[in-house]
Amino acid sequence: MTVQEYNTIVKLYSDNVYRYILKSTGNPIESKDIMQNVFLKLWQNRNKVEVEYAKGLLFRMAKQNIIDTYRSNTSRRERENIANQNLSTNGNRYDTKQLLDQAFDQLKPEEKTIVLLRDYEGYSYEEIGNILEIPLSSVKVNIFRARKKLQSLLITLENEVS
Amino acid sequence: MKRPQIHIENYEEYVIDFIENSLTTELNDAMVSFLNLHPNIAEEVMSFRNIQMIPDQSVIYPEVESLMKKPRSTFFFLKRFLVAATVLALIGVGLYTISNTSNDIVTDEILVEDESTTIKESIPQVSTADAEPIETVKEESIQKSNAVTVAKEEKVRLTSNALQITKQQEVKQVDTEETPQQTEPKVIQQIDIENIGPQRPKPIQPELLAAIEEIPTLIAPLEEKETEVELVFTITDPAYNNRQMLRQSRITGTLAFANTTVALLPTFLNKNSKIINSKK
Repeated sequence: MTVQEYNTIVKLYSDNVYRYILKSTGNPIESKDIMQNVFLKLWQNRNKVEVEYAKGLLFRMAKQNIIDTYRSNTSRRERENIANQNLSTNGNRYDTKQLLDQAFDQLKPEEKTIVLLRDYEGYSYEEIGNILEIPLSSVKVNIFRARKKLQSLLITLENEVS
Repeated sequence: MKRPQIHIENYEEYVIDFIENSLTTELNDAMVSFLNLHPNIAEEVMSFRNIQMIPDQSVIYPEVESLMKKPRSTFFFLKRFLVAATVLALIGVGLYTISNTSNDIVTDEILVEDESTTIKESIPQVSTADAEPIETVKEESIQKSNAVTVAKEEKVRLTSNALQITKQQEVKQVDTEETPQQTEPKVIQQIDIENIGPQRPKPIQPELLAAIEEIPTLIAPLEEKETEVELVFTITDPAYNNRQMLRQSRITGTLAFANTTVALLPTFLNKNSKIINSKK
C-alpha cells in the first residue's frame, strides 16, 4: 500500500469508521483515540495490507479497540446508569430515535458491532463473518439475538417513558 | 432428497433470513413447520421488529488531516543521497590519506594505532650507544606442513640513528623434538632519528607541543639514573609537519639515560608518560 493509497483509504473510510466507533463508545474523546490507534496500526502494517481488505481490517481493529476500551473502562456502567436516570426523569422529551439510541447504548460491544456493520455499512452477513472472523451461521444467530435484545430494551424504555 | 431440518437448536440461524424473505422455498417451508410446532417462538418471531440503526451522516471525523501521511518529497531523497555521498566521500578521503601515509613510511602495515591496541613493552636499557631490544607480547604463528613458524616477538630497538621495530621468528618442527631454530630478527619498520630528532621542524600538534614542554621536567631528574618509567611514544610524521601521528606505543621498563638519549626523548614522549620509580 502506497502513501497515496493509504491517504485515499483515510478519505474514504475515516467518517464511516468514526461513526461506528462513536456509536459504539458514545464518547467522542475515546473515539478519537481509537481512530488514531486504528489508522496508526493500518499505517504500520501498510506493506502487509491489500487495499481491498483495508476497510474490513479497519472495522476489525476498531472493534477490538472498542472492546479493550470497554473492558478497561470501569465507570462505563455508572455512566449508563446516569443516562438511564436522565431518561427516566425527562422521558416525555425523547422521541423514538432517542429511545433507540438509549437502548442501543445498553448493548454489549460485540452486539453493537454486528448491528452497526450490518446497518451502518451494509455489509452482507458473509462479509461480517469475514471481518469478525466468525462463521456465517454465528453472524445470523448473533444479529438475531442482538436485534431481539434491542427490541426488548426499546419496549422497556418506551414503557418507562409512557 | 432429504428435507432440511429446522429445530430448536438451530432455528436462530434461519430467523433473520426468514424475516428478510431470503430463505429458499424448502427452508421456508421447514421454518413454517417449525413455527407451527412452537407457537411461543412463532409469537416471538412474528412480533420481532427488524429494528435498524440509521447512521447519522452529519457525523464526520473532524481530524482527518491528522491521519493523513505526506508523501516523501524529492528533497527527502535528495537529502538522503547527499548524506550518503558525503559519507562515501569522507571514507574515500580517509582511505586515500591512510594509503599515502603508509606509502611514505612503511610498506607492510598500517602504522596509525589506537592506544587501546598498543602493545605492552618493556625496555631493560635504552641508550643511543648501545641499544637493547624491547620485549613485546605480540606473538603469532603460521603452520606450514609439519613446520610451525612462530613470530616470537616484536621488538623496538633504538640505535644511534634510527628507531627500529623488528620481529623475530623461530621455526619449530611439529613431529620432532628438535630445538626451535631462531631466525634473524626482521626489521619491519625503521624510522630515522634524523627525521624526527631535535633538528626537525617544530611540531604543531598541540598534544605533542604540550608533551615537549613538559618533558624537560620529566627528563631532568632522570639523567644519569636508572629509572623505571612508563613512556608513551607518539611518533609523528615530519613529512606532514608532525600533524600526522604514525604510532603510539606504551613502554614500561628501566632506562639508563645518556645525554644523547635525553636529547632524543622529547621527540618521542608525550604528556602521558610517567615515572614509576627512580633510583640512582
